[in-house]
Amino acid sequence: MLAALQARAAATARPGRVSLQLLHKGARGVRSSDARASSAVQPAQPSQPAAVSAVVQLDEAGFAVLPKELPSMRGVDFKQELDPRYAETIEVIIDGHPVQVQKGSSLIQACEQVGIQVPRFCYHERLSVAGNCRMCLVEIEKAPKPVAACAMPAAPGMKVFTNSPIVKKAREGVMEFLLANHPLDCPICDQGGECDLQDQSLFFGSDRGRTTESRRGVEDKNLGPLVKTVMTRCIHCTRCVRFATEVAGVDELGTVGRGNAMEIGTYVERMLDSEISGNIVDLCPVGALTSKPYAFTARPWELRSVESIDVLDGYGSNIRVDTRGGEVMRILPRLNEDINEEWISDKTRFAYDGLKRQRLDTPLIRPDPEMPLQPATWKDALTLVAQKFKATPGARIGAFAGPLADVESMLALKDLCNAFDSEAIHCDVPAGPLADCRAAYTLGSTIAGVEEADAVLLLSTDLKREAPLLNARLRRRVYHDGVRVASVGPRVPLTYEYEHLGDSVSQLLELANGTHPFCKVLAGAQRPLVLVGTGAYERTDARGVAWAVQKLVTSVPALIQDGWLGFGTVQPTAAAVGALDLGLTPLASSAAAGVGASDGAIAEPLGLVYLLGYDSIDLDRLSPDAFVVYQGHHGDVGAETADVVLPGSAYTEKVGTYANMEGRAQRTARAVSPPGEARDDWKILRAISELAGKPLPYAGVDGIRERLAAVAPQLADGTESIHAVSPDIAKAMLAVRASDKFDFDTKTPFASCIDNFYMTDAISRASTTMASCTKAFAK
Amino acid sequence: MPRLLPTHPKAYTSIQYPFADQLKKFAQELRIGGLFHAVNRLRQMNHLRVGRLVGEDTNGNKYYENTNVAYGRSRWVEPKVPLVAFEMDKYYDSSQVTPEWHGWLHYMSDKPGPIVKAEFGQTWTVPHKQNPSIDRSMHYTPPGHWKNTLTRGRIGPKYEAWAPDAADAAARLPLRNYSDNTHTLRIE
Amino acid sequence: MALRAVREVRVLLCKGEASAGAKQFIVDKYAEIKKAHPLLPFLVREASGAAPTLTARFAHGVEKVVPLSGLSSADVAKKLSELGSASP
Repeated sequence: MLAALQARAAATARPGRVSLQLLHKGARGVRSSDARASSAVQPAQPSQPAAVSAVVQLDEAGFAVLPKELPSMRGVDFKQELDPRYAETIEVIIDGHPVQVQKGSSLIQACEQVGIQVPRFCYHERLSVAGNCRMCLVEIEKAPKPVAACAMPAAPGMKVFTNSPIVKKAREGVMEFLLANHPLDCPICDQGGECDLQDQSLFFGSDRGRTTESRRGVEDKNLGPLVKTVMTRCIHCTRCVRFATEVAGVDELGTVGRGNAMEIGTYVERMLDSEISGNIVDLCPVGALTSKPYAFTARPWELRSVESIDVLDGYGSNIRVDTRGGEVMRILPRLNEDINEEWISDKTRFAYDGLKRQRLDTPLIRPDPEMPLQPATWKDALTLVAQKFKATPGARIGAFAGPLADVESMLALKDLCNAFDSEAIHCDVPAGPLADCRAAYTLGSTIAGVEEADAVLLLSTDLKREAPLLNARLRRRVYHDGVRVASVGPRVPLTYEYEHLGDSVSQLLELANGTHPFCKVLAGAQRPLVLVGTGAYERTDARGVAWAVQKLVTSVPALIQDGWLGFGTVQPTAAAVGALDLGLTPLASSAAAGVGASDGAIAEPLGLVYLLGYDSIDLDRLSPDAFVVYQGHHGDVGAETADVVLPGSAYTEKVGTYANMEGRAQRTARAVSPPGEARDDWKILRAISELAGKPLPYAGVDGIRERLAAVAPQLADGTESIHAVSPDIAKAMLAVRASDKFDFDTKTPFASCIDNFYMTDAISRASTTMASCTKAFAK
Repeated sequence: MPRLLPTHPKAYTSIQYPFADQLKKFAQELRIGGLFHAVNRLRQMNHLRVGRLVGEDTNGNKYYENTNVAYGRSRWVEPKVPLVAFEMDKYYDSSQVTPEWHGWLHYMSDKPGPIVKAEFGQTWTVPHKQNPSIDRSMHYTPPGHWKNTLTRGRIGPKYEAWAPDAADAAARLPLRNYSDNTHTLRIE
Repeated sequence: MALRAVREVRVLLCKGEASAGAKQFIVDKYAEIKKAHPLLPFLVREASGAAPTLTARFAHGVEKVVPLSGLSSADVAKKLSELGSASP
């Protein structure tokens, strides 16, 4: 099943729709009208095995005689993979062949397991069954009428025919009804070329229409700045309604009216207020819901796709970057059952227009502190930076890696600074528990493992905004299995019911001491989960909070056990886990993203500050004679304060490793070239090292990957797997806490680290779509 | 000389209009504009025909009907052309016929202009404009055509480089926008 | 344990038996190392398929790598003190 889904997703233009490529290659007998039209009439002959003959045989009724083999038997690139949790099988007879299918699957799923894709509009594997499109009708022996395959569970001994004359007639009829009221919008509809209605009417519909009446028209609804609606095209499959209700948790979409007058919308003019609202654009099988920023810009056959990873948050969603002529036209999700399933958040999907604005494309040098930055050549800029590296003593060199830095460039930066005797290489993560142990800063249970928790404690996190897809998974747990979720932090709507225990440090201290009533729930659970947001460590008493969190984690024995590590930090940035894995230092909380203070040591004012995409610089703490070098891809705060600007590449323009919040290392791919004179980040650092007289020991991609394997092998093996921390090591290392007395700030409530979901990094800040979202959703 | 075959009494002959009527029309035109004008009109219209004046439209065209003549030749329009106009094309174009009369003139209906206006007219109708391409200088040519002095608009860069100075930013071409083609049509 | 000159210690472990000794060393001795040197980055990373090693980084990026495969906890402690006292 997984392989089928993956094969399907890899082959299609959009992940949410039926792959008819499988139909081309697999079940050849599905064509009805074109087969009839193109072949000569021949008397029915006994079935020929395997070889597809050039002339199609017809039987007495005039329908094509089907090859008597299912795709799964023919050895076409299709493997049946059963979910190991539901491995029990029953026997069903599909098209005359007895096959074993999973017990409990519906007929449509059973057919998919053997490689037959039954056409459908309203059925979707991740949503509840509606059964209102009637396109998936199949014939069952001894049934009076064809049945909807999505709604009928497979029973042992059932005889199913997916291509009989009744089924073909039913499909043609359903298609005719759907098209009777559908506007002739194909030339102006964005879904043209990747439209389920177009494809299925070509394969399963009849060749002519009989409509002479005029069609109904429906008003367009305003769903916000992201989703464009043309409700005349809606076929009322209700996929969007079910998604909004079940996955996104917003009950705003619904259906009004009945029959011909049915309309889907929010009834009162409200916007779809969810961070994953963009996924209804993928789900809609027709062009009723399309992407507003992408409207009228491209056709799917013009686009070239590259599989990559999203870095705008710490989730590491797998994406597909579609480009045309060297620019990114849109971003779509890729299937990954362990991380993002088939969804991506709105920021991931729509912030790509920030890649076109405010780009750094030439090196810039500020000749004088009073003068503006002037364009320069690479040679001049790199020589100047190398001179500064040689001239500044090691204690006064500091480096800061931003939220979008990839692991290779952070490794090169660290090696370069260490070669010049500097230890002050920081990353944009607030200091929590010591980063010596990986369990202190990653999501120990893994994202898919969150679905096995049975009691969840959220600490200082607005999960809906920091990791909206993780929130959707938790929602599934809450509503399917009744898991208890409690939160100590901001009182925010989380799309499901949870207990809000409070928002001050005193609740955390009570939990750590074991005196809070919720401790009993945690202790009684077999797989408790504690999720901490980094907002907890952005306070003045962060060290105390870290101490308390460690105490809590080590006091509940079930949190760290063999096969389950129930402690996790929700990292909001893509560079956080990679940086801490490599050994970069988190910023001290008291420094509050300033410059020149590390954890406890008294630092001298920095003379050379190297910013790798770091824009949260605190200008007051910068000493006046500091020489600031900014290497990044957008002209944000960091570039304005810099003395030398070196243009790097964004995540769609380089091959970089990013570790997501669970510690899984994934690689982005190069979809477009970096603009102008921009180059890969780690190569710039290598060039500086060579000009400065201490060349780094790697000059090519293989070299840096070898170095990465030596420093952090869990990021370098290229298999995108998670290397879990051993429970005894985690327990031993997390138990080490400073035994100081801390002053806790009980007045300041726990807050989330994100205040505006749509603008969290340089790319989303430069995006006009994100700006209109901020204005519209007023967050 | 070869002997001509006898023609059928009801065969089509080239002259469809009664000669007496044509003479009457010629005399009428003589009275209006003189010999030059009458001969000119004969040259332009190829035949002079007499009919009942059915009506006149807002552009000054007169619509005539002569039901004794074959179907397809019984209704015509006489445009308002200046008397000594040598080239009619400069003054008359078929698109000057107003929409109310168009249906009647082309035998689509039997309702002449005023009746069509009364029955189907709307308050929001815009006044009818003739096809401007008759005047070759007004003929539509797309931007970038060799006749046009304005060149085709530049589509704009793929990305906007960051400018440390706001003044530089203002002088640059705007980013290309595929969903809106206003920049590509004409840029002065 | 004298680790004054060491700027960073990296312990890479694998999932199997070869790093059992190193794991035991971490579990036993990490607390006291941290108490003695609270500001020393002592990174412990696990990866299946990696060879267990101990890396000490000194000034100017000089690194000394010691393999730990199959060593017992006491051996690992000995190797670490050797690295700490060795001049970079």
